[in-house]
Amino acid sequence: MLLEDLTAIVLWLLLAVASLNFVFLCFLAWRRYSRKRYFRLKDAARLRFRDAVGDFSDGKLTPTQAAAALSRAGTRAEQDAVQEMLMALLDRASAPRMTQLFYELGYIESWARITFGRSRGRALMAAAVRGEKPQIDPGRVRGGWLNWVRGFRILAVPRALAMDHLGRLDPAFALHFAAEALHDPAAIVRQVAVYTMGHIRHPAAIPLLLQEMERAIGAQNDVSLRTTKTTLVCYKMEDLPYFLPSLQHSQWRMRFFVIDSMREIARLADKASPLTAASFPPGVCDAVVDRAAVDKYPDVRARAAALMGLFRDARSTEALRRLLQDENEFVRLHAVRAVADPAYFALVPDLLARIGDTKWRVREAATKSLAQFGRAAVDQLYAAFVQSSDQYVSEQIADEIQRLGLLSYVLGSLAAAQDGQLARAVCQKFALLGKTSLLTTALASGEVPLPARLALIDTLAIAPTEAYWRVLERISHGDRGPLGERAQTMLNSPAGKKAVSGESASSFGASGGVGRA
Amino acid sequence: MHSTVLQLFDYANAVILIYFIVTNGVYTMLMMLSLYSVTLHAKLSARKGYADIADSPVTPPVALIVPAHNEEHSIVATVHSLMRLNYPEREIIVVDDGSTDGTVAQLVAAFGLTRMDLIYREQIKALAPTAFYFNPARPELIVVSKPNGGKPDALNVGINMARSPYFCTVDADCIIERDALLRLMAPILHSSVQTVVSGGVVRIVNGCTVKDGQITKIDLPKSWIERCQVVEYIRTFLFGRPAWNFLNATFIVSGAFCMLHRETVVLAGGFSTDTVTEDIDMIASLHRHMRGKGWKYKIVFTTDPICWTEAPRTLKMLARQRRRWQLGLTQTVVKYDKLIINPRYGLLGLFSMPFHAYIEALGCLIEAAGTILIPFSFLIGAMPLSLFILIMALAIGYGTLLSVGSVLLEESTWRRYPGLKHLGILLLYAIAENVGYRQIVTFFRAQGVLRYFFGRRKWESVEHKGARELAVAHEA
Repeated sequence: MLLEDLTAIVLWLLLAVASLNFVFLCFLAWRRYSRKRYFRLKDAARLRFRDAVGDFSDGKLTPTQAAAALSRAGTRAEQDAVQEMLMALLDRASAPRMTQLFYELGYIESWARITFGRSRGRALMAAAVRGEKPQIDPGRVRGGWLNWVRGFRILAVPRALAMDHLGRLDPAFALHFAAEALHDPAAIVRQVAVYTMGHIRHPAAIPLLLQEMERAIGAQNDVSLRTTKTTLVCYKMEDLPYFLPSLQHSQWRMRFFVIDSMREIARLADKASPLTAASFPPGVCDAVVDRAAVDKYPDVRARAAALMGLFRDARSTEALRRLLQDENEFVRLHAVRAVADPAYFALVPDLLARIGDTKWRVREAATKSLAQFGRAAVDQLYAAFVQSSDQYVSEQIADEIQRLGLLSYVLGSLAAAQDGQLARAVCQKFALLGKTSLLTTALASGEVPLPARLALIDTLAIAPTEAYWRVLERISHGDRGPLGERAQTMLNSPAGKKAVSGESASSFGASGGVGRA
Repeated sequence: MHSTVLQLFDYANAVILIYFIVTNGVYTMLMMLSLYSVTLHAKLSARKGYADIADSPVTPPVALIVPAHNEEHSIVATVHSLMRLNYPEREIIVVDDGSTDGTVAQLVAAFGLTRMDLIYREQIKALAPTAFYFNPARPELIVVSKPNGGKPDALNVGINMARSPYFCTVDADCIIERDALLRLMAPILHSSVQTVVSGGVVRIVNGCTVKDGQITKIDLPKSWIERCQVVEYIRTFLFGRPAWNFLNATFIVSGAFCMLHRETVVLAGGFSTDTVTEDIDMIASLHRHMRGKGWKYKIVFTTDPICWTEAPRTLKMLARQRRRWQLGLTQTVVKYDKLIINPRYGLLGLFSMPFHAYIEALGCLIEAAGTILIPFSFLIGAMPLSLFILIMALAIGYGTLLSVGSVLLEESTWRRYPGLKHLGILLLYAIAENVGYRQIVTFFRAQGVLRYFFGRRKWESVEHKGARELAVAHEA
């Protein structure tokens, strides 16, 4: 009986599995066929409507005329082809005409219906058409069982995609939809709405975004802090005054993210064209120097330092000088990075003081920053390196000299009368620190000028390594000129003989070992 | 006596059948969840793209850590592929784990590196490096040489060298798609809680054409063993893992291509050297660490990042790989046994860990026993022919269902194998792998578990025969 039952169960299971397999295979076949058909139709539609889209883009057709030509796209594949062609041409300049065309084609109505429902979608669209001021209501409360259902991903994904289309429209139009979508129960839709705000860059949206940020900071938002920040940094220099009220926010994290967003906006603008204090809207520099730079919280001061670096004026120089001596490591770090600019050449002595900082990150940043000031500052860096008696400081500078490729300066000057003394002292310091791999490689390299190689033979002899003797042996065998002779002389010295005979190889010191923390 | 034996066989068969039904019930549930989540994710990401992340100054820098041991034939192609990645800011750290071949020499020659004496700050305990190679003109790349200490030790050295807040582990024989890092970063940027791990899909490079560190033509390999693995990888990465990710109970993320939050990993103690699958161990360790601290966190798996890796081409190598994976999984579930059926760990403790411990790790013993016992029961007369045939057909049919389902999911979403010929071959092997291949792999896995219990717990290395071919294609 049990066996019969078991057989029946297995049989039914097998039938179910076989049926499902069959369904899967049929679905696969159908999907292949339908996709092929879809793309064939889409390609045909692209060819069919290419001229109309091109004429509209060139301004030969008005939106109404283009809509009449493109409304013949009836199937989904055709509509998708037209939408994709138009979206590819959509930019900030063409957005108003394109929006009118989408409106006349009925696409906006369709996207608004998917995102907000029929009646709400129509109401928003009507308000946008009438040019009304968008209803931005940060205090609106989300809730209700319907919203709970709407929060399911399966229902939210089509809304997010439709909102993505709406977000690309003319900013005056898109803002209505984005402001409404910020109240959507699904995070992915709100995320698209937040990104749309960045695309729109409408000043009215900044308070809304700052509110989203505040909720994210308080862990009350399922749209991430980074998403909101990404959107905020899309704004431009002229929008910075809208951020200023939040620099006085009671939460320090809010002040931190606001000043950091301002810093990113300014940094992007600086990349395009170098800024000065005059490039900032009125009030911004004062707020940063007088408020943010003296904030009670170090993270705010640190980001203020980074922003002040772009002011490049006497006031910011003094403020940065103070921050270079801040009690907090991160403030000093950001201040050190901020002054890596020729405009702050007056701060080079302060930077030199920072290469002896107690924190390695500050030392590292100070060395990097000094290298930005050109040969004069680099020479001061070398001098500090040679004179330093602190091993940690010396190792840090040695690390950066190697990473930044600054040793090429040294090698170039080794044989020179004027700078040769400093260059030799730098090489000797490297040798004493046991960091000779790079110099030994230079000694072995035929690309380094002969006088520099001759000088290297002498300077590295202060603390010879195994690698050094090996290179000398190679040179003495391969070079019949003055270099070979000098190498042979060194090898004939008592230390050289000892090394070659291998009596106590370990006594030659580190063979290019590893620095310590 | 005979009746007692028959009764014993009955019991054993009943256990196997119950195991079969429970296991496949779980797999069916996972399949449904994966269909739901992968389809929606594909729909959303296909439309939206990743330009926002690529252009955003908020996108954090990432350190790509490549542990390499005797990878002279593939390492340059791998580094080239990493340099071409579409990502705003990254550092590439190749950790030469005591190679005895020309791995370092190849890198030095290809990227104009020079030996330097740089500072090494140890935050996680690891064997100290012996040399650093760097080119100031290519500051994004650094090569670190160290004595051989195994992959986890090399990764720990890489973490100690990294400066970026996130790091990505990349196997030295892997090819990464251009946007893969952006796709991996997307869930981290969009998450409202701290995302400590973001893992991605790994596919098989065998059969594909690689040029300049990029896949230029996707094709299927020629041999049956590699084709079966292609289907197996699709099933694993599109069916199992997305479902656990949906339930926020991810336990396995492939270390071949995976992004982690550096500071959290340092706090958790870095990669452990006491298991042979350091990636699984790390995930378990992070779960324990974060839950222990009571911090909110996420470990995510996304189905669109693609890393292409070389699969074993011979049964011998396949056996080594699978034994190691199974041994590592068993070591990890035993090491973190406190997580199993522990409500404090949520769905991870209540469902994911028991599933991985009793079905994925130890279940292969029952599967292997079933593969032997059921035909044997029939041969000694303990099972009628009709039931035997039905059970065999059901086992094969169900295996086929999962594989065909995964091919369907691949076809509906990413379509990395676009040709009709590809689809036909994938479907053929989705059916064929259930007769022979699966049983062989089950035995290898069972060997891995037995090795754990018998104390043979060493790393078995897999030779990459195709690496030379990849390198040749790269040069071409």
